[in-house]
Amino acid sequence: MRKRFGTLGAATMIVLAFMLACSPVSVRPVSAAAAPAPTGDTVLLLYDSLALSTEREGNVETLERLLAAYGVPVAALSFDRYAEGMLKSYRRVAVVRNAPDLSIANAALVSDLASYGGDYLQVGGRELPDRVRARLNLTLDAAPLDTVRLEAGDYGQTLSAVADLDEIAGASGDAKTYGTLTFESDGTRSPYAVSAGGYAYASYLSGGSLAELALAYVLKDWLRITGDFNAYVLIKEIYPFSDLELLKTLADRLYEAGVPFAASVKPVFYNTDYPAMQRYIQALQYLQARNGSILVDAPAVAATSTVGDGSLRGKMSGFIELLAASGIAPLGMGAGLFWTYDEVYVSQGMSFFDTVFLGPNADGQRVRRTGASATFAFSPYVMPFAQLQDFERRGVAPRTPLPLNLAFSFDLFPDAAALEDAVGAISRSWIPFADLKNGTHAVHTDRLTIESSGGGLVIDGQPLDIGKQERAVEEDYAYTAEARTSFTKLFGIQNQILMVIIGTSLAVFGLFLFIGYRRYKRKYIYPGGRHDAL
Amino acid sequence: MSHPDIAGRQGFAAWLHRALGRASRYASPSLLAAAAVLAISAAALFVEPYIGMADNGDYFRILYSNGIYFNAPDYAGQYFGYFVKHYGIFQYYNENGATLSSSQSLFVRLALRLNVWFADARTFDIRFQAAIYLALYTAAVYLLVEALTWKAPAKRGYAIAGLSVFIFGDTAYTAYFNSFYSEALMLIMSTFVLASGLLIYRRRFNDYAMLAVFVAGSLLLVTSKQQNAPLGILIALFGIGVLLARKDRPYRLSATGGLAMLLLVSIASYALIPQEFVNINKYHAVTRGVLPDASDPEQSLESMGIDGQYALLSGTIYYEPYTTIDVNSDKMLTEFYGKFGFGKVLAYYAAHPDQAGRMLNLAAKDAFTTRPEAMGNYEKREGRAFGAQTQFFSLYSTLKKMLTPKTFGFIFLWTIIVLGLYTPSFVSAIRTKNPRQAVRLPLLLMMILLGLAGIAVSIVGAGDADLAKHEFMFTVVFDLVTFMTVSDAMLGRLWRNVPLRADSASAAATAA
Repeated sequence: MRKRFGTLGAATMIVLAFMLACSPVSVRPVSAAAAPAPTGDTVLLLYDSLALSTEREGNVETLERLLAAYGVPVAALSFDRYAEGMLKSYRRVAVVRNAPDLSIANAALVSDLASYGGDYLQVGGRELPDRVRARLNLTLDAAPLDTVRLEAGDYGQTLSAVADLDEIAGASGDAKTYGTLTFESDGTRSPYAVSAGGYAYASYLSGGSLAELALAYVLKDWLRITGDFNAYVLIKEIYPFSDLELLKTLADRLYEAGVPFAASVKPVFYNTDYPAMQRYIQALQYLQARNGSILVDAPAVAATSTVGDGSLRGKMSGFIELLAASGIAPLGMGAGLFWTYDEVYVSQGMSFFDTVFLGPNADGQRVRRTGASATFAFSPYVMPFAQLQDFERRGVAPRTPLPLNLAFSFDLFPDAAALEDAVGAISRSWIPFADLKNGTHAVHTDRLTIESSGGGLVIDGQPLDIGKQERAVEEDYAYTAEARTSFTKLFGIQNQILMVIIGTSLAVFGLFLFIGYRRYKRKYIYPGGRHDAL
Repeated sequence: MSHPDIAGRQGFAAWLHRALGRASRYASPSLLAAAAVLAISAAALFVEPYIGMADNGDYFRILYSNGIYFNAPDYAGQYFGYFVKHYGIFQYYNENGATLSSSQSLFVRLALRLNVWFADARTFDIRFQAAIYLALYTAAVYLLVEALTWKAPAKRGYAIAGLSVFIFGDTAYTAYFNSFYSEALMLIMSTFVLASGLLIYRRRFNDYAMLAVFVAGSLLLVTSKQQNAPLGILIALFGIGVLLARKDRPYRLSATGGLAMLLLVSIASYALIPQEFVNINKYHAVTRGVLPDASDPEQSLESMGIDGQYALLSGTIYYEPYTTIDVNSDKMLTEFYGKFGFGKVLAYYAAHPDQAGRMLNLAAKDAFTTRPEAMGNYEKREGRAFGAQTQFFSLYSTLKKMLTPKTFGFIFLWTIIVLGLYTPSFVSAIRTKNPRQAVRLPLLLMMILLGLAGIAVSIVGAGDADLAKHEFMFTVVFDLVTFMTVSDAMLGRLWRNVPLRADSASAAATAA
């Protein structure tokens, strides 16, 4: 029978919740420099399975992104690929068990984990190193398939048909507990996670659920991160081919609602002098003037590309400089997580930025995988706003501080109705969204530096006037340069002479043909011709 | 000039005449031409250093679905640079579905079967395929030269045979046999189609057998490559000349059935083109065709129903490593690919003839290049430079590339001249109501149109992307038709009809 948390446990949780609730909500400007200082210590992330085609698919990537949001480099490795002695190189290890019914087959890993003395975090599974189990005094039960309600921070979410969940039935009294899991079938409750010292255990993680946020609270303590965190609005999927008028309307509506936002815009590498590009630039200028911060989105990567062609650096810096020349100050980058693992992408595409909004992986191809992921001074965790809307806001009055910087993302809307719905939902969320410009962010290319601080934008030391007049689009742009010609008159005369010669030749040829035909016919008509001779 | 000189020359001429006469008893010009092409090609393909074609990245489409895979550890490093002759054979279940439907698969599978029977069950040697292709090609050259030199004076017949070896033994052509490019099949089948058509015209062999070769060759040609799908319609239309060669019901039924089947297969082949290929071609048709040369690309796009902002894609290719938009994204599918078909591209060029003219001139620059410069011919172990190409028996392709005027005006003039030269005999045949003698001009026109359609399909279908390889059809047709014209000129058969078999000699008498 599962162990119930008694009155004491509940009281402890209420006190903890109250203490958390009373913490001041961050309104201070955040800065890349003031963001959680990266520990510099790489976390070795070990997993037994990627849980493909299950509800937990993607949870390893989620944990990687959470760690990246705290500025922690990650080296991810499956149990099978672990080699003896690797643990010695890491001070922190995180283990994800997606197949708890399978024991660890890698004997070297079992042995190394047993003797491992560093910080340890495990998500799921009932097989733990003895020392961790003893320190946390952890009792774990396998919960039957059930609908479970998860509560963490200010939010709750009902997760239906959760399988293979390992419930924390008991833990050390001095261990800190996080969140609550309530099983619908019998109403039993257990903490979502516990931690003590450098050890932590979380029952469950699935991408796209509240478990992401719940685990973030655990990670914050496990990594010993301090600081205040903010929420941002991030608009994605902005192309030069998007409805630019709708984009401007969005900027207006958010401006009117007092919501600062960041817009991750797709870079353009070719034909940047075309009117179409000028219109795009105009729209981005407009966004910036409506309190929007501009991020450069990672370019799409061709599936066929197996090696970098060395052009990325030039292309990215060219686009940044083009924006700057148009009075637009990009403050960071938006990219899928896989970019941080790729040597070429990191060195050629991301090295300009200290601020990178890392989203889930899209279809992309890693050019060359480095040992550990790259990290950035400021790297908010990107969560779709629709996911937040799946969470129920709990009735507890004061707001619990966020455990990490969160960017709630929207893809640019297909129409005005969807736009109005989203702006309404943002307004109703009562989340105090921060302005990215208030933080310190810097973008460096070989030719210029773009910075933000305290709400101001500076390009090469010159303050930027974001309300500057838009540049007019050159509608009569000459797409094809007129070919350079020389001796036009001479060749014109030559052409005429040739035409006369050819015309005359044709006429003479026609005449000969006519005469020849007449003579040919005549030989059948008049005696004495060759016909008679035959 | 002294008398002994004259006497000596006359003696030599007499000796030559006797020698050729004796030779013709053992080896006709066609047999000699076929044997020479076989020997030269065999020396190139099967004797070290082996000549073949490097992979440009297309091989996987035909290989994996047919149970063959890249087994060279450094295969990726040999793309474009080196010819690879050994590949692995899948030993277990092959999960790779066909990425394209091509008649080439028939020959790859046959070669694979022969390889397993006679050599190795684990390693595929591409030379088995080359052997099959070479056998077919030898037969095709034999039929072509036979069609042109039958009943010709021996001296001129052998000269024509020599010319055929010079043109069709060129390694720029035969190197394709040691490759997985469908160009090899296109070359062989085009030769069969022209040869069988001419042999029906000359009534040299059994008409039904030649009709079968004509239809089978056309089917294999049309289905060898997606790009060739529209060609079936042309063959079906202009092949009516072959249908009308005889009046008897069984022949006409057979010919009608064959041509109808060709039409259906052509349409089916077009319909079966995988959507990914369609999108790649659509992308290039606009970004490498319509846009770069348009005076107002935005207006051009809007005339095709696409948002003018997509003008920013002008000049880009589908395979750019870093792009503004994922070329396979839903946005591209709905807002770009979904907005137009190739009909709209064709209509666009029809409405903008000046732009079409410029594209045709651009296409003409590559129309006489038999061997794309990008692909190497040697194996890596030969130690040649990356992408090195063979000079062995490639004088014709080299001269052709160097000397032909590379404008569409030249192609136009060539077409007019060739058709003009053959028109009198056609008019004569129509006047005398001799349908068999009227086969030659429509057949020639069909061949020329196949070549021109190859250019048009390249431009409409993919702009200027990879033009050198897309225009192979024209390259082949140009050589076949030019060879035929020169041969007929040498034999004085250009504007008069040629001798047929005895039982139809009366028809020949109607010649102009």
